[in-house]
Amino acid sequence: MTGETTPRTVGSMTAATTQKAVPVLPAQAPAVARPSLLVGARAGLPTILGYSPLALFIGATVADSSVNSVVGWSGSWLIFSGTAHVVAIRLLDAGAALTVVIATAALVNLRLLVYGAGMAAGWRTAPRWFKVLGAYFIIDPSVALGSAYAERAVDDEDARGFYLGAAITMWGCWLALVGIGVVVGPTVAPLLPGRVVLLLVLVAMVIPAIGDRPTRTAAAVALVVALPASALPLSLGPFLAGMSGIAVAALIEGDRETR
Amino acid sequence: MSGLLALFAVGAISYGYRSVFVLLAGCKPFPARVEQGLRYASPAMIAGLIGSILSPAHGGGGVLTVALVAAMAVGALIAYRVRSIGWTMVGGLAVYWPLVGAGLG
Repeated sequence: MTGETTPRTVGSMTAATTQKAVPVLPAQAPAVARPSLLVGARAGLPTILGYSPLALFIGATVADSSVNSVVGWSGSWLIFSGTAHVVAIRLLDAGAALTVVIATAALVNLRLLVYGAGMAAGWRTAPRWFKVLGAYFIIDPSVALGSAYAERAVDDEDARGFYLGAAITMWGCWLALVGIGVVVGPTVAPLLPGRVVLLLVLVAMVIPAIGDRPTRTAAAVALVVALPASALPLSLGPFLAGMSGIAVAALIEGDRETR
Repeated sequence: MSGLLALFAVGAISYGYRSVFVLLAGCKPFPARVEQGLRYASPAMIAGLIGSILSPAHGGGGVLTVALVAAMAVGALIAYRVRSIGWTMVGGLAVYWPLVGAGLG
């Protein structure tokens, strides 16, 4: 059996791994490594529990709004994105026009487009069912966990198994936690300052991700640009800030490589 | 009914964002410069969200209090040392609540 060491890209990260030189037929290739599903599930559980204050806060927002509780909770699996979910609920509660609710929440979620592009790079050889399912679970913590694990994964099946195990666990817990928030919302809402909870979650996600100079630059530029850009209408600020950070970091890294 | 319709529409658009590159463009490699830029997507987008929430331009919600700054600082330190979302939340809120109670919120 011959093998060669080639760079492998999963979830926008590159890692060196040994891959077979002979193409593997789709029917023979395992889509995900089953033991990796459990490893992913074990990693996803504490991560999503860290999000529990945010989930409870969103549930409390639903309970406190004029939106039907079941309908409001449904956003947790229909949208599966806390920020856009809470924005949509608040706008619906305020009586905003349907088009305004949809457009604003869609703009808040624009970053998912970038995450999807990042994950696509590592899922080129994945079976179609995995792409269809895996794409649904793309969100900040699943991308952060999946990308970090992909750097040390044994192979693509291992990386995909981990991602799926973590993502499904986080999805199930997220739905349950938002549901609990809807039920106990009025009791816990005063204990959960939404802005602080959200900021702490985001800080916890971004700090471990800024390991090298380009990622630090990307985050710093995005943070600084976001301060004035937040005055832009339709919540375009965070997206433009993020894109600015990506562009500057890519330029710096490109210049460094050409030198 | 209109609420469900709105949430369904946002969900459909969000899935479109998530899947368009995965399903349609995933079979071809992106240009090298684009792949390079995508490495920074997660930290840059999350930092952008942090900046927008902290911004004074953020619908009047951008007021920085002692309690908030302290909670963020402690949270960042814990995230750096422990790399745990759970402990970051616990540590940040453990600092935040007493300071709010002391009138610094």
